[in-house]
Amino acid sequence: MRHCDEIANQEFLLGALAPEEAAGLEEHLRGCAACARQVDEYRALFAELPDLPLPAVPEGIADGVLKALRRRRLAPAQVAGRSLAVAFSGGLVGLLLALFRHPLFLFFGRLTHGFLIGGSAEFLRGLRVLLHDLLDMTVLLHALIGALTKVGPLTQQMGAAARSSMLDPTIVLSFALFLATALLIGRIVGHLGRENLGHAKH
Amino acid sequence: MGESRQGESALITRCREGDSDAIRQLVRQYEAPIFHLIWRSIGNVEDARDLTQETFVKAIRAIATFDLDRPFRNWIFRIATNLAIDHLRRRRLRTVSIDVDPGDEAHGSMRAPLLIDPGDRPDETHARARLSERLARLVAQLPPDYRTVVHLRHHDQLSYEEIAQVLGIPLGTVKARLHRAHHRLRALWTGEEEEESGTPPPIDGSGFAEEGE
Repeated sequence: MRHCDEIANQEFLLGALAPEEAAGLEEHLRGCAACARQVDEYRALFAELPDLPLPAVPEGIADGVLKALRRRRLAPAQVAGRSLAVAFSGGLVGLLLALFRHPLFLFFGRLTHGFLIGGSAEFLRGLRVLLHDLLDMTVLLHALIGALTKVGPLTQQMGAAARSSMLDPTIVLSFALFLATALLIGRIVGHLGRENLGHAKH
Repeated sequence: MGESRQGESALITRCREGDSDAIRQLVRQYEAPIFHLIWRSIGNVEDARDLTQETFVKAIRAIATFDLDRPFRNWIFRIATNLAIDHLRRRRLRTVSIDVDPGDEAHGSMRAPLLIDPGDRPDETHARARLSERLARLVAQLPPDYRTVVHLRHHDQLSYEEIAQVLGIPLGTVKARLHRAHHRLRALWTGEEEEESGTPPPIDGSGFAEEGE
């Protein structure tokens, strides 16, 4: 005959006993009024526990979550990491474009030159060409981001964020940073390239 | 199960892509179990609401790290219980009692309007509801870590192993907490132990502290 075991009595009701243990306990219950009563009490308790009264779920949790996600704040380390990644990829694109002697940089130079020194006609002409080339570059960037989304969780996150409806200022700032580094590096490399050739175009 | 699991995977994939509709749907699907789990642990509706929201924000931000082959519910439950534990630690010096006596309207603001599942038959409803209310009061007298395992086991029907994963504690600890919680509830329920009336339960300092194996 087994001893009285309160834990076994609980486990029995929760279906956590092995079949032979359960059979042994059932036999014990037939001969032990105290345990039989305890099992009945636990049975009544376990029948009530799943359906205890609960407070109503407050309204507007989903709205609150989406709002919080839109104004999310990244930790400083994350900001630094992302900025670095964005600046680096921007610089890389600028370098590549300059190496391929993309006319964007020449026209960008002419544009600033036209704006500072030349007349408005030259400025507008430069602007038109610049916009045209920016369009080219946007297409290129799009392809690049598309390719990057296939690589690594960070870029995947960036790509997902860019595609999402949760467009927030950080994305715009990232794009500006990307563009700025691309232009800067492109300008520097383009300038050095022309100096080495010993003459400046235009 | 397979089909709903697949539907859930698709939903989570859309959430990863930042789809607002998918996020909204995911929140709707899980807000009740998460809110109730947190409320059971901390006992305050306003704080539970805030922490439920925070749980989803954390989950969506980290959703790229979620393994689609595992149950999402247990993953997000873990985030929720961690937030609840942090919350309880922050206010450790204050008493942590759940006020669940809907009969007493005197302390309105802290009190939750309670939903009681109507019984099978109308004439049984009242008696069952009273029984439920009394038991809810007894559960509220348990320490937070005991209430949480009782809720996960009996309300959410999690296995011991799942509870251990959710709370990040050993299986033996889950069993010990559950057995002790059951023992105390039965003793209070049958009148073997004195029911504390009106006064919040004494804080024994255990909170979510681990008991020895």
